[in-house]
Amino acid sequence: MKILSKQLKLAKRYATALFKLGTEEKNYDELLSGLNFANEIFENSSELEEFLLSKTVKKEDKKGILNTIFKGKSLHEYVLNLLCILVEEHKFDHFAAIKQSFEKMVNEQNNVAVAQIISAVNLDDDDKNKIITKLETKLSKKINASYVVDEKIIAGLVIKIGDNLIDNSHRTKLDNLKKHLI
Amino acid sequence: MVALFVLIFLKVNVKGKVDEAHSKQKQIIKDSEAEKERSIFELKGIKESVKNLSAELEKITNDGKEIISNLKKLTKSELEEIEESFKKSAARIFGVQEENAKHETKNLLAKKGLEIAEEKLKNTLKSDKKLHKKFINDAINELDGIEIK
Repeated sequence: MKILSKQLKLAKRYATALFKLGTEEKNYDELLSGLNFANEIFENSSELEEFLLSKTVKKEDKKGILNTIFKGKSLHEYVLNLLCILVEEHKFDHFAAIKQSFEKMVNEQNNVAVAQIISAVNLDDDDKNKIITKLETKLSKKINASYVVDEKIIAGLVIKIGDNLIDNSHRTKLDNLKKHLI
Repeated sequence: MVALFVLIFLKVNVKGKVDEAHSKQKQIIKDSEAEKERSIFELKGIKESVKNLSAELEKITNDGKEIISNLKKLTKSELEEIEESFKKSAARIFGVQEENAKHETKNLLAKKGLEIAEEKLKNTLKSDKKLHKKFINDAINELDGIEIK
């Protein structure tokens, strides 16, 4: 589901409400894993997503399907309630933004920074550990890293962390040289 | 009967209408004469300008003759000076073109050079996998000097 910037403001309100509940009951990690679980199911089933977003399908039918899929599963009831509220208020298209906003709040609470590490070849564990250790030392935060292999960067590393972009790729070095020469 | 005619004559104002028609005819004749005079005046003007045109043509021809005559009178050094001035102008024009050509060639060479460098780098990385490790290590070491907010 593509997140639009105008959705983020409203999404933050839903996420804050859910986060308050999670803080009171000290289970925001469980809620986050529930949101991730639901998000994964929606991402892997475009038919289900289309069904829930449809304006012609009745709200009751949508809620019925959500209950059939998730009730009794590892999804926390607060997350299921949130999904039903979104269907009720025709705001289901805000779900991905709510999940993203909630994740950010949980990460802040847990002092975690999310990083995406891009390399031209697979990194071995030794490289991964070195990168994580350096980032954790610099930020004084735990790092939640995801790894992407992208040959387009030619060699080196690109690290996206928070609002920072650390680009030590040879693609960018060549591009900078090109700008300087031409 | 006569009284009836007099009455009709007075009512219709035949005399007034006859006078009015006469007056209009007089005006038309007067206007035609004025138009004729204006045309004669314009014709005179045209004749005058044609006369001036031939005078102007004569003047241009004479000026040309004078320039040629003056050029003939120029000394060798003066001619050389003019030639030099022409050469300088030409050199300036060609100089700009040469500079543009140099710039384009430099860009083309740089672009081609970078393409070759990129290709060479990719081939070297393919044949020597350890290089990737080296560049990754370099990037990890560079993290020490980078400020992250």
